[in-house]
Amino acid sequence: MEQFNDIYKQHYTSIYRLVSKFRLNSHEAEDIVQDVFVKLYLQFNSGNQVQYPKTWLYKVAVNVCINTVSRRKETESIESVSQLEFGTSDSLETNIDQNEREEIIRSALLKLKEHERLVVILYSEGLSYKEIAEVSGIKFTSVSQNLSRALEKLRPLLKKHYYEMLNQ
Amino acid sequence: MKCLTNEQIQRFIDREMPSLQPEQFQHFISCPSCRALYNEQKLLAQSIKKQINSVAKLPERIPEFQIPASITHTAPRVKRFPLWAKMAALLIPACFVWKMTMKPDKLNEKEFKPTAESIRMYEMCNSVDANTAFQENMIITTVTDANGKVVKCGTN
Ligand SMILES: [Zn+2]
Repeated sequence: MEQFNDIYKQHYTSIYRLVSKFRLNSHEAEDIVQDVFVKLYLQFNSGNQVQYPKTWLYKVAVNVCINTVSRRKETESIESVSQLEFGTSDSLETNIDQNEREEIIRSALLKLKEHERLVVILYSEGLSYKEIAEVSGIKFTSVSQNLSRALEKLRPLLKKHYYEMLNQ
Repeated sequence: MKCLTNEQIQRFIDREMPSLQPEQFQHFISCPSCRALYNEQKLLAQSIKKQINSVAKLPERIPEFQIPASITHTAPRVKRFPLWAKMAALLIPACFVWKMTMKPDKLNEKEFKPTAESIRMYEMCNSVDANTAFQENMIITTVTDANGKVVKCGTN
């Protein structure tokens, strides 16, 4: 179990960051991250070998996130979803601009097809195309196609911020 | 040669295989619009990465891992039956089944009652070794008269 503890400490932050990119609140995110590591713990406990813990964790995290978001879509209205935001940032500084910016990015991501959104989120995590393929279940040869399509779709939606960045 | 597609440019930006073929690379170097697209798309990709990462949150701290309750609760349940009880649970039915299957054989053995005639036949058959040469088996011939007195006696 020492190996498990090392993996836990090593990957907790990156899994948390990945999970927070999905439309979840902070409690949901914490629960999902815990749930993902419980699944890994059970693997170790039953003596199963996990060859690539990083991709394994990403894969499980992505599946749990997609399931959680889609389950909520079925049961709750859009209004209640918009309230499910991380509450920590505005308690530190009441930055309306930041919240507004986040909302634009999140809604732009929502306009993508699910696998395009997944590819672009994993890309933002700095994963290689091979890792993206393994985590998302998309063919390796289709990763670049999905990625360039997603970026093209996001271009007009995130244009304003893109030019802001260019001027920086 | 045709200009590169967005997908080809993206792979080239990310230095991912299959990257550009030699002739595509030659075109890329000599084509201003492809180079412009490369620069623009590279900035776009960086910008979108950065924007997506800006919505991400980091944990305030790494919490202590809680061993799932399902494991800690099931553990004593497993220990409720000690080893001897498990062994007994296996051995008792095994013995019972063994006894049940062995009984008919023992009954058959008891019923085997050969007659005196069959025993004599068995002994006679065994006394003659069929594997030894005929000459080696001694035959004694006796000739008796009407009163039973031996008149002539000879071997082989
Ligand atoms: Zn060109």
